[in-house]
Amino acid sequence: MNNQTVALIVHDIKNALSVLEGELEALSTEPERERARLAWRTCGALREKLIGFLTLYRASTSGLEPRVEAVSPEDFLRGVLADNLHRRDGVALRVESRHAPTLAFFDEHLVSLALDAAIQNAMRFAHTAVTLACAAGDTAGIVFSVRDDGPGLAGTEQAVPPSTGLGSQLCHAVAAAHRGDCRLYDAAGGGAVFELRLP
Amino acid sequence: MVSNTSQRLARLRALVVDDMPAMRQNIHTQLGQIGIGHVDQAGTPDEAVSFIRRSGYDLVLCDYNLNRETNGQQLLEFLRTQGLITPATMFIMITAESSYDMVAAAVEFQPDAYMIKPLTGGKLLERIERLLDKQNALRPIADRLKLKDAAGAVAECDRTMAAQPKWALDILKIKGAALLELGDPEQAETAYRQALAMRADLLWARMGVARCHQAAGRLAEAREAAQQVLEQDARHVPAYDLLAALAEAQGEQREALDILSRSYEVVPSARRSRLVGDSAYRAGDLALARSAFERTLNHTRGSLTAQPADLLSLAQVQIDGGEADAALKLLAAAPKHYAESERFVAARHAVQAQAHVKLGDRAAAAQAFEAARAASAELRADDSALALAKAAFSLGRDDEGADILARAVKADHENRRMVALARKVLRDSGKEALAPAVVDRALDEVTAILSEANAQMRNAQFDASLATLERALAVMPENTAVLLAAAQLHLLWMSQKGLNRDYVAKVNGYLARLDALMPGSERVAKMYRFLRETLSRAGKGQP
Repeated sequence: MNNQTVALIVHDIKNALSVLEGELEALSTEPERERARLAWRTCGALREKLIGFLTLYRASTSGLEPRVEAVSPEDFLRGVLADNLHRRDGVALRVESRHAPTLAFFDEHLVSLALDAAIQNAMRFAHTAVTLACAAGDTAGIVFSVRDDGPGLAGTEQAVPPSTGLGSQLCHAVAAAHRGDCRLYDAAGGGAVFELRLP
Repeated sequence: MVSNTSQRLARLRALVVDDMPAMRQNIHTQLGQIGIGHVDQAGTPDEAVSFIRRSGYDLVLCDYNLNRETNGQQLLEFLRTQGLITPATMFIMITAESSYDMVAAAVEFQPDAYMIKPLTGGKLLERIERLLDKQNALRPIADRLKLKDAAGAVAECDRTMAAQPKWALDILKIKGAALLELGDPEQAETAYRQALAMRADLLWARMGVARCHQAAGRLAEAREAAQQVLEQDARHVPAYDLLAALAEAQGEQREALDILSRSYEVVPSARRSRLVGDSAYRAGDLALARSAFERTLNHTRGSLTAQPADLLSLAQVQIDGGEADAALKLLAAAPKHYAESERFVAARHAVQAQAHVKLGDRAAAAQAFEAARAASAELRADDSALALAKAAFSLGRDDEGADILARAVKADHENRRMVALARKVLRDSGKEALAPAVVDRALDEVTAILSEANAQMRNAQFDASLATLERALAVMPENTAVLLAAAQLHLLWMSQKGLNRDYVAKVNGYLARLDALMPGSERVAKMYRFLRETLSRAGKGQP
């Protein structure tokens, strides 16, 4: 992890903290359920960033050691969906598990960190929906994907605000720890797809 | 479905164990929010144990970092080994982000799940629902296992696997173990190989195959397979245990000791170091035995996991190594509440008596010996009997020593560790010449009683055979072979002459004792099956 990345991430966390501060200040003058919910979400997203940062730090110092277990991908994806904080009004988050194998082998904690980061990224560009899916790999293993219906990779160049790259680095670290890989590409029918392939 | 889950959650009793009050309260609130009916909180391991002793829990959420003396893993080990929580209790270990792979990497007792801080209500709910789902799916199997019906459990495994493929691996694991318990290593191996076909690097399945080799008498293959498991993951403790057992079975005491010492480096726990100490003592390596038992005491000092026997073991090693003074000091510093255990008191006097002899104070030695004898009302096949025999020999009371030793051997003549230690007592006391008269004769006597009872049984002299075994049990109430024979005889009697309520009660009594003496034994499981069949035949009105 180079110094520039660290500075970017800390800067990003500082900004998120400022947002939270503003939300809490507004709450203190005018308590309102919807505002409280917003502050709670910001807080959760901040926690997620810090966990991502710490995981990446661990990957670059002592290395990540996945705790591979037999998991039902369908159950797992349902859990990722239930606990996801990155909701945007007007954008649906769906799970597609029709092609999921009955059992797969991976570290649930690490993979959920990677997928949360990918979902957060997809939410930034999606027009109406983000789809979380999984299927058996070509020969063995499992493939997770996060697809949005946004402008595709070319359209993300002008996107605001630019990301710190934390999410993308985290996904690469999680894939590498499993001896798998990940990539981002334009979907055939439009939008972008993030794919995490694990052996 | 939803209301079903919420009803189940409402019925759950949960215990949160965390040393930080804010964290504890936080989890408590979250469990309340997801609808769990009853939540208690414990701030220390001791508090957790007293809560658990008082009332059972369906769910224990325990932080890994508890206090200096005991961590969550040690608490789990204690609860499982002492039988304080049943397999139905869901134990979730909570770890910090930074330490979770380290915590989970090398452990002997697996929790049902690990969760990483910080916990959210959503995560907790999802995890608990999944554990409940699994419990539900595997319930028919668990019910058979609770009745010690391994054959029934295997049949349920096949049924459940077809209906619930997502739990296939959990089911194959149970099936393999049940088949091994039934003495069917070939079928067990098939189950393990089925799991390996799904994922070739499953350590438990590879260990299962190694155990099948062992059970089928293919010891070299068993060693090879366990060795390969360690090549895949040098932290897999069960592989060390199997290798040590195999080495010991082939008379390679030193090799067994080396293997156990390596396992301690992987999991530096009190339990591991106790195993090293015991093995080192039997191999005659007093220096290693001493350091291992010292480490055991250091690991458990001030902790609820401390065991009085460790103190006695170290004192015995010190005496054998010429440090009688240190042994007396050690015993004098024993925690006061140890004196509540009669067995500890008896053994302590016996060890003290030996120390006094070494220090030349025969009067004190004789006094301690008398106190030890008075305190050991019932002689069992345990270390305290060995210490008492050793004390007798060191006082020159050879007849008494021989008598104690013979009775200890008879109490459980199939316990190889005990018999080997009895021979060691004679060797250490310079009485090796007595071995044929004491140890071998005791073994012969029990064998003779058993063959007499067997012969009577074969000649349909049931009552005579019963009387023979009853006589044997009066002098050796914990001899597992006699208990098994007695259970079998009563069952045979009933299969011929019909149900007898008194006999059923007796058989249950024998089996309960056997369960405590040889947990998980295939022979005991067979006897349970025989009992069930007898009862079910009687239920159908057949003789």
